[in-house]
Amino acid sequence: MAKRVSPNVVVFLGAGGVGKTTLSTSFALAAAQSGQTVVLLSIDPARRLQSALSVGKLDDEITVVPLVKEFKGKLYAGQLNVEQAFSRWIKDEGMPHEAQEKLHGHVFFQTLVSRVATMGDAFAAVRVAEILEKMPNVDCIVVDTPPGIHAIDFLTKPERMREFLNSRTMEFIKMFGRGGGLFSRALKAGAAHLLDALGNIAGHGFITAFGELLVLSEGVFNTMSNRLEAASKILRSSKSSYVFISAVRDDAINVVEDLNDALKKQGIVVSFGVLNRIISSELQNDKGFSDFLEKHQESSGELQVFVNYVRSWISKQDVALKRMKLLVPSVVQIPLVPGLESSADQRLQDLAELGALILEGVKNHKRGSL
Amino acid sequence: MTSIEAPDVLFVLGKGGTGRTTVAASLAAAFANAGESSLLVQWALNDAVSSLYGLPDTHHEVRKVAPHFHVMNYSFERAVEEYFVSHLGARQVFEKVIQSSHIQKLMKAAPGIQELFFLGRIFWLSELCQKERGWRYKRIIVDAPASGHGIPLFHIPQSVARMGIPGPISYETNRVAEFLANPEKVGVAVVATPEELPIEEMMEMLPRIEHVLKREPLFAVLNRCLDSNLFPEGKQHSFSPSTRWWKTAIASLENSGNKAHLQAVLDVMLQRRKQEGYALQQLSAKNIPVLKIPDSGFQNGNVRAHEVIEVCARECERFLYGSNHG
Repeated sequence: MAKRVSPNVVVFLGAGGVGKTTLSTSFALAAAQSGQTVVLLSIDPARRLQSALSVGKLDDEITVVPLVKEFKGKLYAGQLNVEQAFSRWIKDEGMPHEAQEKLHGHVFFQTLVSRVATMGDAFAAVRVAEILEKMPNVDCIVVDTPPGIHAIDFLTKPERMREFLNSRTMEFIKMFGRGGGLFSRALKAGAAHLLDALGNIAGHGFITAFGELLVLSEGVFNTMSNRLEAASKILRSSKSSYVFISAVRDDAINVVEDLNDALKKQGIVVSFGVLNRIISSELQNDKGFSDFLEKHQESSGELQVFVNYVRSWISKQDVALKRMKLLVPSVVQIPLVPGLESSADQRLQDLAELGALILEGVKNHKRGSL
Repeated sequence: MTSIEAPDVLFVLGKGGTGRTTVAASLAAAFANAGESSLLVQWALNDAVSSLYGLPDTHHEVRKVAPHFHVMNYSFERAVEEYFVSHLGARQVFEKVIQSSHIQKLMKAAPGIQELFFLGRIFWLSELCQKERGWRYKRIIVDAPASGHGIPLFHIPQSVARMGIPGPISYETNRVAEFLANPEKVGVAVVATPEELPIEEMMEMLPRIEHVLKREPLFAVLNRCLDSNLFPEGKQHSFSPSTRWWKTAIASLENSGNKAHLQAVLDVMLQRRKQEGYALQQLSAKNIPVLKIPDSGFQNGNVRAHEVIEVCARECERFLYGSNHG
């Protein structure tokens, strides 16, 4: 049997509120329409988007999205949820039922989960690796990311993750959790005075409880750690592409600049960006409309407010486009879509058309890996 | 007297991209403008505020950026050092124990420790630093980490306190938990922009805040609201494209095929206005006051960043102190 080609991973990056979730969903739909088997990992899709996918409430379990015949491929989708994933991973480890219960009921369990949740970036990477393991027939994984520069911390600051998952640190901490031979073990490690002093400061129980949690969740963390490693390799390979999404907003462009710097330092060149929600060139080039804008900028009342609104939008989008073109050679501009912003039912077909624009761009500008 | 009964410490919570930092800075500036010494506490990679006042970024050190207006950017490492060295007077412990690489890793890895120190620092700034350092901030505004992170922040002292383990950490944590529980000391404001997802998320945050703090947010901030001249109050749900300005705009088009494009612009504005109306209705049903901040980017061309804070601060001042103030 021929070895299957490993799937492409497409990661959507950008500030909050720029349309990452909608556009990554659109992209996934477009890829499914072209015949691929696609998995979409979403962050927090709005209800409107979820109902467009007719999947009810998305959760961490990857489910099939029912598509009409026009879509030749298959779409699976899931929403990242740390707590659900954690519970599943605990089950996957094949832990005895009692140990599972004990872990779920542990006083630090919630804080541990929320701690993992703050590493949303690494969590998404772990999920990518998990999907690769469990779903071998996938052509493309589309990843929506948390807003902002931290979305790629697991790539740019791997040491932050190691602080958390580093096995030696884990070993050290776990000594606290294993009742009995605690101090003899600590002595062997030459750390008795440290443990003792820390215990005096923090309260021995505090540390013991923490160690106990780590002992219980060791398997889960080992698997996480291995998957993170696998994901980092894939995400640095030429199999992965990154798409910057920005809206017409200074702060959103700043985020793209920061992301670009951070990825560049890792030797990852991003060549494709999307400027979302622009006022279309057709409207801008309409002579009558530009005369209208010219004429009413000095008038008063509502007309002036509206005209200023449109004018400042256009001038902002010009600046945004220039700044983005300095970063990536190819920028796709997506105009405000009538209906898409307001209608109660988003149509899959409309979304797929939007996504096709990005799909085209990603194909033409497959990034070169260093 | 403020018309909102603002507590000493105000946590500003909101999703990324809603302008949370701008709002938090504007609230701090508003208190400062009214002559109340205020401190904005950020916990971010970079200080986003000093540069707006033409000053270099600050870190853990408090910097005065304008009369009565101070900012800082919390650092976990520095907070730990100050806790052991200045507060406990235990330099030896700090140097020999805390600074050892194992303990450093442990502290960074342990769930909740960084958050606990952050809250401890806020408590210290509010309750102890006058005695220990002679600093006094009447108003402390906390630009909390983005919303998912914002709420677990409040859970941590409770779960640690519940463990009932004797020792200094528990003692300090109990104090912090009591402090957070006191509505005269601590309040929460939530920020959203009038867009579907941020509003949805804000509404979902409300019961979670109520659950953990046993009280509702003091107020909500709707940031980047459209100018109400465009959509006068009361007409927000019955807007018809028959208004004069809209008719004039449509009539101006040379190519009628562009009507759909112009309609898309209107759609976005209508949608924002609708979301704003929806949020106002939902929040007033819960008796949560709303501070509306206009979209300053669209006032008159390009507004510079520090002017944005000034414009927002004026809205905040009116809201906090009532319109008769000043």
